Amino acid sequence: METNNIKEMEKHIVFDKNCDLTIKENDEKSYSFVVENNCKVSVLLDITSSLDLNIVVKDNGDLKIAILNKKNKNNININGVIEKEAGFTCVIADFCKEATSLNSNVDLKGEYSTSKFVVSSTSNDKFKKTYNINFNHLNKNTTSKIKAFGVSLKESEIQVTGVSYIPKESIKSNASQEVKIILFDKNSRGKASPILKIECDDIKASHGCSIGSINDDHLYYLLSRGIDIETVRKLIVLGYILPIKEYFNEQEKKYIDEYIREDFNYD
Amino acid sequence: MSVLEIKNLHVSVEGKEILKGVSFKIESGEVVGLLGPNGNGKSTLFAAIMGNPKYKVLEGEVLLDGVNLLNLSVDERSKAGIFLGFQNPVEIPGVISADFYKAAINARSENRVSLYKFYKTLEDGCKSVELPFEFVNRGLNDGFSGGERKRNEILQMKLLNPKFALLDEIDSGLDVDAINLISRSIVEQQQKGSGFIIISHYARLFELINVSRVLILVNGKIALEGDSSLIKRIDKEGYDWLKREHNIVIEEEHTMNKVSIGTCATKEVIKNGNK
Repeated sequence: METNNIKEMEKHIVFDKNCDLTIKENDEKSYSFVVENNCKVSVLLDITSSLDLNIVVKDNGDLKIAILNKKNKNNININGVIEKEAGFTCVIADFCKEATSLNSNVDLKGEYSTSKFVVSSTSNDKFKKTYNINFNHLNKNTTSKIKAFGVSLKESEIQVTGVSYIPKESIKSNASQEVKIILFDKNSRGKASPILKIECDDIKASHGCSIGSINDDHLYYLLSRGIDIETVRKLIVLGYILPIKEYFNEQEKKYIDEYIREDFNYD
Repeated sequence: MSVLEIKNLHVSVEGKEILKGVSFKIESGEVVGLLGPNGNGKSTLFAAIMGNPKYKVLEGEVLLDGVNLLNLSVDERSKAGIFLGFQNPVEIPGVISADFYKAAINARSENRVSLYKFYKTLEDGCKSVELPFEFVNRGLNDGFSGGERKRNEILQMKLLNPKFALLDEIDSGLDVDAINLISRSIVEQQQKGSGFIIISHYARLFELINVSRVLILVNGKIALEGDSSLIKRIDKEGYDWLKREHNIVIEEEHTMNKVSIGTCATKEVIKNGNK
C-alpha cells in the first residue's frame, strides 16, 4: 500500500488501486472519493475546517475513512453510495471543544453492501454536538451499523439520531444501532433517537441506548482501591472514548492517546 | 500491630435495618471466619466498613487504630488499610487493567512508581495468582471467568498490601486448584501481618488457612463466637442446631423486589390503507 501526506488536494479523487492516504489541515472543504472495483482504500482526515464528502464505493471495493476533529467548530456532511459487495466504514474521533455537527446519508445500493459508522465524542462547556446518521437499505442482504460513544461535560450536550430505513424489497438486511452517552456533570445532557423504519418482515434490526451518569457500582469498585474520585472519573471517561483507537493505525492511535490524556491531564 | 474494632454497628439498606448492633475486634495477623445464613448481614457488614453509599450507618463506630473509618471517604478507607475482595467483582470494559493497578498503587505512594518497577511488580503478581500477564492490557475484569475475577481480587490484595482484608465468598465458584492457590495467598499475606475477615459457606477454604476465630452472624448480630470447630459443625449440620441449643431463631430472608418488563417497540399493520 502507498502512503501519502498531502496538504493541498484535488477535490475529486478516484482510487483505482489499494491506497493509504492522510490529509492534514484540509484546505479544501469538499471532497469526492470514488473507489473503483476491488480496491481497498484507507483515508485519514485530520480536519481543521468543515467538510463535505461525497463517496462512491464500487463493486467489491472497501473504503475506510477516519476523521479526527480536534480543534475547530466543524460541520461534516457525508453522502455515500455503496455498490454490490462493497463496504464503507467511517470512524470519527471528535474531541474538539466547540459545537460540531455531522450529517450523513448512505445508500446501500448494491446487494451485500455494508456500512458502519463509529463515533467517539466529548463535548464540553455549553457546546452542543449533533450526529445525524442515515442509512437506506436499497437492496437485499445489506448491513448497516451505528456505534456512538460520548461523554458530555459541564453544560454541554451530545445528540445522536440514527435512521435506518429498510424498504419492502430489502429482505435479509440487518440494521443495528448502539449509543452510549455518559453525563459527567449535573447539567450535562444527552439525547439518543434510534429510528428503525422497517417495511419488510424478513430482516434483523436492533437498537440499544444508554444515557446516564457514571455507573455507581463502577465508581464504588474503583474508589475501594484507594483511587480518588477525580482519577476514577478520568479512568472511566477514557475507558468510554479510547476504544475508538482500535479503528486507527498505530501512529493515529498514539496521536489520539496523547491528545486525550493531555486534555484530561492524565498519564 | 493494627487493630480493627467494630463497635455497636447498626446499618440499614433501603430503609430496612440489617445490622442491629455488631461488635468485635480483630488484630494484625488474625484470620476470622464470618459465617451465617444468607441474608443475615455478612456482606452488609463489609459494605458498611468499606463505605458503600447504598448502606446507611445508623449508629456505631468502625475504628482502625483508633481512627473512625466512618468519617472517611471510600478511597480514604482503602488508603488507611482496608481491602474488600468483592463477592461479584464488576466488569469495567474500557478501563485498562494496567491503568487501574497503576492508579491504585500511585494513590498510596507520595512519588509515582517507576514504570519498570510497576511492570515488574505486576508481572510477579500475575505469576503468583496464575493470571496471564497479557490480561493487564484488557479491560478490568472484561471477559474474565468467575475464577479469574476472584484471582484478580487476590492480585489486587497483594499489590495493595492492606492492614485488613475483607474477603466476601472469595471461594465461591472456584475449582480445587484455585481454592488451593487462594488459600496459599491468604497465608502468605497473613505472614506479612495482614488481618483477615473471611465470609464463606464452605469448610474447604477454612481448612487450608489458619483460622483463629469464628463469628456467626444471625439476624444482624453476632450470635455465637468460637474456634474453628464451629466451621466443621456448620458444614456438617447447617444452622438448625442454633435454635435447639441457643434458642436463636433465624428470621426469613427479605423478599425479592418486584420486576416489571415493558417494551419499547410497536408494530403497526397497515392493510388496504387502514390500520
